[in-house]
Amino acid sequence: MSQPQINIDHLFRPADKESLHSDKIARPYESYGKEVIRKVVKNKMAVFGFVLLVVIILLSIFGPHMVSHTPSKQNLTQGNLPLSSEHWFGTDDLGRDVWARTWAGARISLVIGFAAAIIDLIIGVFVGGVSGYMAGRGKTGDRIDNLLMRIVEVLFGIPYLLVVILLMVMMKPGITTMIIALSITGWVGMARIVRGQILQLKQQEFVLAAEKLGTSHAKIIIRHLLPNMMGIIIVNLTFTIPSAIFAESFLSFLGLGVQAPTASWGTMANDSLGVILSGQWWRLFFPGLMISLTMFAFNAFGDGLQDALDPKSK
Amino acid sequence: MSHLLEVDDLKVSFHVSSGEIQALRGVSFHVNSGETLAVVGESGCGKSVTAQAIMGMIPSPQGRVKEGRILFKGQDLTKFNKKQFRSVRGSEIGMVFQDPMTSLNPTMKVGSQIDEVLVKNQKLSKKEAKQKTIELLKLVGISDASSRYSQYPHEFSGGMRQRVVIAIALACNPELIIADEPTTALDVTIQAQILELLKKLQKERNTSIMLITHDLGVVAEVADRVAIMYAGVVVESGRVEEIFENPKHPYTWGLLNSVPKLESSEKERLIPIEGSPPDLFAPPKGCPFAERCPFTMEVCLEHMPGKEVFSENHQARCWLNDPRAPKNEELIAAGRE
Amino acid sequence: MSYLIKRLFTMFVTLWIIVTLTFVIMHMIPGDPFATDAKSLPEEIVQNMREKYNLDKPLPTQYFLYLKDLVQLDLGPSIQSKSRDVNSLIADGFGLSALLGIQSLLIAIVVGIGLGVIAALNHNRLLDYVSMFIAIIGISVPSFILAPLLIKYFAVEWGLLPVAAWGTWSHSILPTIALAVSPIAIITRFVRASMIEILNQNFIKTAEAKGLHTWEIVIKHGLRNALIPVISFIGPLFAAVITGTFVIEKIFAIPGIGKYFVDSIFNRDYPVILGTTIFYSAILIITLFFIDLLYRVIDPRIKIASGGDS
Ligand SMILES: Nc1ncnc2c1ncn2[C@@H]1O[C@H](COP(=O)(O)OP(=O)(O)O)[C@@H](O)[C@H]1O
Ligand code: SF4
Ligand SMILES: [Mg+2]
Repeated sequence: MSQPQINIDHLFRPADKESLHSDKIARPYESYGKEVIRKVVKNKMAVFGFVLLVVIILLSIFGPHMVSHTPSKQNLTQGNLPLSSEHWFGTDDLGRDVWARTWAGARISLVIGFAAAIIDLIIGVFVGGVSGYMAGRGKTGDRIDNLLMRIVEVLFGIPYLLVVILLMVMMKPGITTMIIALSITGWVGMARIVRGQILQLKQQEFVLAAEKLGTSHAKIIIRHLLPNMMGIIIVNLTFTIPSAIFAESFLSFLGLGVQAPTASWGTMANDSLGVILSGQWWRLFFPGLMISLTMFAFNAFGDGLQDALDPKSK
Repeated sequence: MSHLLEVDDLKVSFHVSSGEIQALRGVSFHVNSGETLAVVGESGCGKSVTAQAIMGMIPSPQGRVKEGRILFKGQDLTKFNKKQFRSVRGSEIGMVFQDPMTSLNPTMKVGSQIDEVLVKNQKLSKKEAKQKTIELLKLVGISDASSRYSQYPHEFSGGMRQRVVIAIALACNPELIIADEPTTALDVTIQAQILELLKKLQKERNTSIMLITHDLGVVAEVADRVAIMYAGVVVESGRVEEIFENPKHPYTWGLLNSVPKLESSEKERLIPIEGSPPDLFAPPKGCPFAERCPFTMEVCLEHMPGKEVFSENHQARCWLNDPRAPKNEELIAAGRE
Repeated sequence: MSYLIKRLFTMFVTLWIIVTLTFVIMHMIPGDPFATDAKSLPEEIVQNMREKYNLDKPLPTQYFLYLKDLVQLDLGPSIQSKSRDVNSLIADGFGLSALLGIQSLLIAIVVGIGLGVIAALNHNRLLDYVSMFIAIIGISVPSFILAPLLIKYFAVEWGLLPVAAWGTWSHSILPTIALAVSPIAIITRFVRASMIEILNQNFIKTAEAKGLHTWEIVIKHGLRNALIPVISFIGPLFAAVITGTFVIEKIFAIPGIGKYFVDSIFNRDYPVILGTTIFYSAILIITLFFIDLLYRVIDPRIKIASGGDS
């Protein structure tokens, strides 16, 4: 390599290292939460999914009020009308406004989805947390873990939708019944994930240290373990919510979900099965589109979040 | 004089979302026929990336050779396409990776994993390959080779697995073997055995070895020449004796200070070099070692030191070797202690 | 060996729990589940039912007699007609449902693995985005929305395929596709994630350093390892296909078990619902069992019996 042409002779004397350190532009330390948000925001699909989700939720709140028709008001002279400025999404065979019904249906679907997922979350985190935390804590600890895991194992082997169908057949159909049926076995997946996480986290310094200091079990779980699993729990939520929504529309489609005249995406799809061939596509298209968009939004957002939480991703 | 392998001013960058990681910033060294070159440096200095560049295995699309040449038997590997690389890999250059526990396919019989490279590159039949594989297993010191042939990796210990990986690298009699920290993950006694094996094989077959390590103790054992890397550049290179007896770069001094003395029976405390390497997103314009160097001068902060040549083989990049540098021999000697 | 026994034991326990659960649920229904239905049933059938379920005997006796029937593979009667019980219904519908299910599972596995591998090999490049887009669409659009659309276009508008019902093999094409779409999407995502992870493993680098061609690496070293975690996913997938047949057979008017099942739900034909549920559960649980064994055959690191030389 050629020596620099400019005269550098005067530079051959000890450098002031202090200035070196102060000069150095410190890379700003990013908190974990901020880093995750930065990564999610960079992921176009995830952002798109999130925005879509917000729009759908807003429309489910305000949509039915944006038109003068109520979701279940029948008007037999106005049956099967195509899209118009009066009926934005057309009407069904009973003359009900499809726009109003679509967003009223969105409420049902979203409420059931969120409620079932949150119940799953609470039971799953509790069972998984206790099981994982007690594992390896003496004979009783292991016994508790074993017992809980046996239950989880058996429940995991039972086909989810079949159980739900069975329960729905036997109980009075309705929103509450649906939420109960969906969460009776739905928590198993969450419990398994949480237990696995706890088993890993337990080995880490800060948990061991807290234990040595005599911190109570509950406090260790709530203060130290749960916050470190938030990411995985949230990611799992972005997948359990849409699967509950899917289950709702699936059951309603089979006639097992919410009952007429309440609108839900599944019942609307079921009502319009035959008519799509005769040309009233809007009756199937809009509820179908909304289910699909909702599933898409959750999945896209969940994928992005999962990527962002993966420490291997840059 | 033409070398078997000559790396010349090699620059490699990785483009990640937070910027450009300048992993190699002008690496130059060479490997002669039949010799062992040790490439030494702290973790993250670019040793593995150098090996990847030679093998054409830099993770794409984020990683890219930006500048420089890699001459292997006179041909520039940086100009090779995928097909050309495939004809070199395995047959002319063999590679041994760091972690023997994970470098073998867990669901494939050990023997088949060696057969594969023979069938591919030497066009042997399955039967011939099996015969040769069993010979190779014996050669790398695996007893009971014919029954070991049909076992799976999980039935082998770490040291045994590394012998298998060496057998794969060796199978087609390549002219160059690149071994990327082949002993780092192994127990000390196993380490010694593996190094012994490499030395023996090299003698018997006259293969050139590029041995990557962060352990100068290993270097003293097996290498003919040494290239010392720091933050994506070779800061000093020379024959082993030259590097150990007359090192010219403060980083080398630091490394030598942190070598446990093999002769002394009682374990001496290692003196690690304080501080950490520079940020490769924004490497300093001057000497990369300046921040940690005890002798930093103003010139070091402003300008990258050029190559100072001391003998046919021995070179270093440090301003202290410039005639204009203050002759504080005492200081330097003190630093070397 | 002890593993096999343990696994078999869990399998039977699960089955037994399901059976007991269905029995309990059946008796939880207020009133008489076999008579309370709005439809007035012929006296003959009600009588049949009382006999069948031994409703006049004490509950524990009923339970054991019920179990005894099940062990003899008698899944129970139907309130729709005297001549048709769950066994004959399954015998009628099984062929069609199995054909549909197996066809769509095979398609899903082949297409899903293909798309997943392509996506993984082109990680973060155009083909990856395309595959993932297809997959996310497949997951998002429920089959009961997709099926009517397929009928509308392929059958009605373009007249390429029969509209519905059952006849020739071409009748099975649209329902098979409708059934396969969501499993394709699920497999694609799973294989992609698994393959990306495997392709980053060191042994893939070893294989690359041998001078192997990309496709040799993918097939010989990538796939087998990448598919091991995917195998454990076949169970839930199988369940998804079974539940998928409920709606697909209904929409396409295919006389398979799924359609009978849905009909029985509409008619509140409780004995059929229960019998069919037990049948489905048994099939699923047995499948899960075999998948577990398959797992152990494919992954040499796990041994079924100790001391065996594989
Ligand atoms: N695939 C990659 N993507 C991004 N950065 C990489 C990649 N591989 C290596 N690097 C960066 O290049 C530098 C040198 O890495 P490497 O050659 O593996 O170091 P070592 O000397 O320990 O083998 C490191 O700073 C690392 O962060
Ligand atoms: S050039 Fe300067 S800073 Fe770099 S090693 Fe030499 S003396 Fe130290
Ligand atoms: Mg390395």
